[in-house]
Amino acid sequence: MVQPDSMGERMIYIGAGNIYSPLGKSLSENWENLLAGKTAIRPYSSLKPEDPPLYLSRFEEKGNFYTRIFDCIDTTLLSLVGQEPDWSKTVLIFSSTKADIEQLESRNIEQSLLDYTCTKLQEKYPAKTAITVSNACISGITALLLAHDLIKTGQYENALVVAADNCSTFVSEGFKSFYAIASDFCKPYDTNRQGINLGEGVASAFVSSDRNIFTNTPTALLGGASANDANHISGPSRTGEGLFRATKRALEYAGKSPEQIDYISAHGTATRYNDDMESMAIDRLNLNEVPVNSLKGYFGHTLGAAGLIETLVTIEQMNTNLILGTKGLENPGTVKPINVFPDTIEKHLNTVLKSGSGFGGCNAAIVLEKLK
Amino acid sequence: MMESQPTYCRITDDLCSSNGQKIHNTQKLPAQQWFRFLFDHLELEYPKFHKMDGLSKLGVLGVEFLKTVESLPTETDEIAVVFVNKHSSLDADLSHQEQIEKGSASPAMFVYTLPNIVLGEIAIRNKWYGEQQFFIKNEWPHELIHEYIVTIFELNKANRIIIGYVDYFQEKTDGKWVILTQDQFNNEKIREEINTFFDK
Repeated sequence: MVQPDSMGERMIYIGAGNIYSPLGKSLSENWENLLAGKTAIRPYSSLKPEDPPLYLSRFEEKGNFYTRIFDCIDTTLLSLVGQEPDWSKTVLIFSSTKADIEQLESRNIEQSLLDYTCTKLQEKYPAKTAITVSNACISGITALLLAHDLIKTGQYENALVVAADNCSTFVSEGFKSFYAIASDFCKPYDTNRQGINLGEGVASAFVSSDRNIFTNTPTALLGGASANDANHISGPSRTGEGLFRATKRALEYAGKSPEQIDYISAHGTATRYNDDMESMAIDRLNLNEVPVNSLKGYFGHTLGAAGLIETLVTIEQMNTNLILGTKGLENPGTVKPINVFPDTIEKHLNTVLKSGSGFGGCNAAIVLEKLK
Repeated sequence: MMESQPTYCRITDDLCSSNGQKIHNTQKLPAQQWFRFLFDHLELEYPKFHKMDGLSKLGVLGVEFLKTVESLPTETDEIAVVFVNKHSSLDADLSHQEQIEKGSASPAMFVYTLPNIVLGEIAIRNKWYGEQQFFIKNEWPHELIHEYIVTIFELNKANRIIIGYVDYFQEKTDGKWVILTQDQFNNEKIREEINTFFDK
């Protein structure tokens, strides 16, 4: 357990997390549905009627992109003492790959841009600075990493981290052209996995050096690292090079050894290559015995929101000492054996890893620890 | 002791300048041909370059020009790269959107609809495994970039950082790069010089 400021170093905390997804409109609703083993993924008809249905986790109501984001953030702020941070000491970090990209269908260029969304957020939540991070599917993790590093170096006291991506035709047609989409419910780490299910969602959380700003007990964010495979832009390294390096550096940075890791909240997109690559990296790090799960079978792959959504679910798992099963998994089948399972297990969780990988060969990992 | 001066590079539609050396686009070549011209000027042998989209070509070229002055290692974790732009991957996004509308989306185009792909191209070209970050902002975020560089050096995440503004949309090219060591970054005069370079 971490003693606050035991090393005389600045401790960083994450809390006040909220998720607005097709699985639930609040963190507690999402968590209840996760525990009940529910999925938000459903079949939808394809753009071309002759194509097989698309399995997506999509909002049923066609609600406004911004309404969902604001709703999510407002709930995050309600979990802060005084319900409002000192914005002059706060950075707003927006994590997304494509934000409101569907605006391109009607050629609304300006509205499709990421900074358009980020500016709207800063107008409503007047942080000192606001920036968008866009690092493919690791965006959510790199947003947390940036929040941690900026606070660790004493340049800010707080960060409001917001992540959002939509399940657009733009993205689904692209993944389809890659033959990376499953024609059924996705099966992370399964021997018969055949691709991803896309998802959409919003998440928000608060990161701070002030433990007392949270109304509930936060979690320690010990930092982490990112690393590139330096191998291929659209396929992961077969040796898991970047993920291996990112995780190794994250552990070193957090001052943790592999034996101290109780659980890995992994990426598990259910593509052949990704899941094998992750198993290679886990094997090279001697983490084969550590329980691993993928949450893609519940939320789909929410791209730039995935890293934050999954980190917040990881914190719920830490708080309850439960590790959710990997939904969709029947027969584990990765190139190296890893400790995956279909049903929820109990385990005392103290120190955990959250990792992810994405197009462009990018990988990132962060370490979280339970507080007393 | 005087720190060495950092290396800069600038590429626009009509000019490429790198530490005093200037190459003019006298023939008013369109962007893709202009990139090819600069590629040939550097006498690079790298066939992958020709498959890249405009944003990635621009980013790769900028780093190659820095390398004509700086001798940089390969197979390293010690070089961080942070890029910023306004339009993200909008140029590729629009092409992909048009392909969808024609019913012919292609993986070769779709992969470039993420801004950080250029960082991947640079990592592959140079075997750089280090920290990378892509920020999107309409104006140069000089405060945040400064703060980000502080995190890289103070938390020992790399011993050098390449900072770039890399924007490419509909034939409009805007690229600026600088590579810094911690000693150079600690020099206030150099920091001011960098702000001026990116702000104008």
